Amino acid sequence: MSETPHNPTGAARDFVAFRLGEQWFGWPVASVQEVLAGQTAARVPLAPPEVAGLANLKGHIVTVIDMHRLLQTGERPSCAPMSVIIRDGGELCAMLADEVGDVVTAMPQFIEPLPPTLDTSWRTSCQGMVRTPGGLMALLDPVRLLDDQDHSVIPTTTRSAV
Amino acid sequence: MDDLLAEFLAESADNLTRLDRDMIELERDPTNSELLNSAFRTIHTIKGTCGFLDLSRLERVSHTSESVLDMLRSERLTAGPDVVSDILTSIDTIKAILVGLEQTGCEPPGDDSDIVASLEAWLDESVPCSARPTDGEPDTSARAISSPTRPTDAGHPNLAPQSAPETIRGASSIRINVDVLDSLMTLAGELVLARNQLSQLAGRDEQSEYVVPVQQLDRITAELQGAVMRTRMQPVGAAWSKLPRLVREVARDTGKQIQLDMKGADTELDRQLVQALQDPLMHMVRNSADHGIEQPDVRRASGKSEFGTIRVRAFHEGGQVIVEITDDGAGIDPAVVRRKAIQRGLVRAEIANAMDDRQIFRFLFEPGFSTAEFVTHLSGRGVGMDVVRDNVTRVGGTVELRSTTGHGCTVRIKLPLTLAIVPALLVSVEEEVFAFPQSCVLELVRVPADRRLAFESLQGVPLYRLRDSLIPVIGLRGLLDLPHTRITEATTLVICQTAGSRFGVVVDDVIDTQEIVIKPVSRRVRHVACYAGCTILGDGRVIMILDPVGIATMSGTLAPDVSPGDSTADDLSDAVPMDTVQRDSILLFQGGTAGVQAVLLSQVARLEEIATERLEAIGDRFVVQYRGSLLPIVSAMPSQKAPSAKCQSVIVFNEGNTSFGIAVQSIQDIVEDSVRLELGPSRPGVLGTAVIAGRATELIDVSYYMEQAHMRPGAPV
Repeated sequence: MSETPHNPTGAARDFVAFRLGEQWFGWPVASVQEVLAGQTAARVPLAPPEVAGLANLKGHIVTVIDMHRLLQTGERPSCAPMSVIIRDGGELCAMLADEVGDVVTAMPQFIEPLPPTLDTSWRTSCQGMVRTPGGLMALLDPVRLLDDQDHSVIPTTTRSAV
Repeated sequence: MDDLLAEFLAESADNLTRLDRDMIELERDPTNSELLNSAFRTIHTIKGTCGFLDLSRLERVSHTSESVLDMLRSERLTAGPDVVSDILTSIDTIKAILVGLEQTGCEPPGDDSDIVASLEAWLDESVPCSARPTDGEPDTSARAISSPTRPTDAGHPNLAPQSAPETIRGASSIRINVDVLDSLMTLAGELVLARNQLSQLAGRDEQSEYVVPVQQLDRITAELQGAVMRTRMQPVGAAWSKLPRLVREVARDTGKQIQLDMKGADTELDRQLVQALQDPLMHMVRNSADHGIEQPDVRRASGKSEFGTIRVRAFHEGGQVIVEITDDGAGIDPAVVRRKAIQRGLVRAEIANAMDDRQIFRFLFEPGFSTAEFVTHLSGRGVGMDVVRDNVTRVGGTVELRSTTGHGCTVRIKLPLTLAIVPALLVSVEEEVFAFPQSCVLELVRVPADRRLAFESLQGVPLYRLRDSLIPVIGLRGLLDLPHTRITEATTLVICQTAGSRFGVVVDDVIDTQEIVIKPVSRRVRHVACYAGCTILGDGRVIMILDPVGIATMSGTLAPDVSPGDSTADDLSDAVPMDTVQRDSILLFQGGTAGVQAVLLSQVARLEEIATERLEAIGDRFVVQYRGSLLPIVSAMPSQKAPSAKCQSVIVFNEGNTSFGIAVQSIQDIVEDSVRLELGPSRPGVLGTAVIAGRATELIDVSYYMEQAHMRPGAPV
């Protein structure tokens, strides 16, 4: 994933397409485990805002991530969305999406760099974009999207009792 | 001893199988130093254990082959086929002896002269070498029987290993990767969830033909879960198999006579815990033997048996495993520890004097408390006790030391049964369910709405008066930022005890107690200090497990950089945020003399207004009947013996198991300030004078009044 996004050579890469609001995103297929209906998550107080909670997936704890919050694409609709279960290191994450589409195969020469005018949060979490019949699809970079979030988390400060 | 032997056999069986392979590999690749080293180590280990278990036959064979392997290792001999087959023969002999050992518990009779002789011959054939630095033991045992015959590859027919089966203990135990066990555990958990759902479905209809099979499934699942848990269990004896030898060595080196008495070696706990226990145990037993037990003549002089005894006991208690190390040595003098703690600035004198011995002994577990200076002046106990405490607390246990001067001391380690499954208390706050590990929960206190007065507050820090002491209270709702409703209805206080401090956590309700499987908390939530993990309940819900230490840290009850031992001194002053200057809550009162007097609030148990008629005069002092016992009252007003007002303000103090009250003219205020004594004691009962809240204030010496109250002779320090 770390190669330059608009490298003209190299093999075609597959992405699972999912929609947040009007925007389609692509997630590299390699780390996707399965696609399921929305997960009911148990809220975790004091968790970072993008963590919708924890869910139980066949005995495994899954961190449910509100992608709307993470990518700042507005509020998540209340109807049960879909979730893309991904492996994040040794853990499982469920990314909540409004809709999950097909697998999109992108030839490297068609992956274009993001416009520099784009919002910084998107530019740091995407590795490029690709044109699809449904419009432009932003290709997410799992490493930067998931790992960098850790550093941006402000450690909980000591609070006073009650 | 039997456990040690069994462990030795299992270990050797594994090693010898590998050794066979190694030797054959070595023949092909005679210069492979890694193989040689590994082979040498295996034989060396066997030899080492033989000496300990007194297995002379095994020792002789392993010693000789070790010598040959050592020569191969140091390239004084090349691993040719002849040497290798001789070593293999010796391995077979060792195996045969081990099999005999396993069957009968003692070494089978037999003569190994031939194999020893052929190995010896290799030693003689090698390049002469003056020193053999790798082997501390002289060769005499081998030399004595040496009759160098020419080594031959003709084999040793009289030693044909027909009695040595290929595998020793292979069938009864195998080694499994812990990952496999962990995934078994997860699967068993999943099965429980599926079973729960199924039994709910089947339970809807009592006539259902599924009822019986589901019940069966129920039973099997429970048994399976138990069995999977057992796979991770190991007898605690595995952690103390090395103790007898350790004690023997210390006894020999110091000329003491020490008996080691071990009970409960078959108490089982999680294997990770057994490992965590190993070093602390060795450490404490060495301490007991080295510094606790006195020399025989000293013991005789103090009327004790010349034989010192160290008892190691393990047993189950309340879902926990307790390991106790007791010695009947000299014990530790709390006064010395107290003095030392004050000198080192670990605690202020006023507070140290108010602490009981148990609290004082906690300082022994402070890092750096046991320095060389301490060792020479005292018994030397405390060496590395901080490491002991760290090891134990890391796996969720606690350690405590008790000592009676002259009669020895006891170290008590409490451990959870397993790291993976803990008994937990399920509580609810605002519809959310959380789990408390029960090991940290001391008690539950139900506070009805009309007893809200039991909550007090000091500078916005809520406190609860639990029997005789004030403890800080943390609202889980506020801490976790849950939607806020004020404490109006009945609430429940979960009284927690962490390494050093005691505090109450306010929850709405206690739901249940349950055994829960701890799952690691997700990476994205790990920075939140108050969670120890999460778990899946029987109905499939995910809930968070609270970490009392984290709660205390987050709320400021336990400042993160303050080690727990410090905070035991005054829970109260720790409840307020720490400034750069240590600030204390100070109770100001009018004693009777001119000026204001003060006492640290942390020393105060409670304040009472006692009707004057309840004060009863006994001899020349006053007592009051309080909860079925008598509370002695001393007056802070030297001039006045009998109280005059209708109501008498009394400050009540606790000292260990006894309480007493000081009658004062009036309570004035509670302030936050740092105490720095500007003037020394002016008269008995006064520690000195400090500027508190802008006024010159006398700090009273609680121990002086305590002696007055209990009519103990002796002047205060």
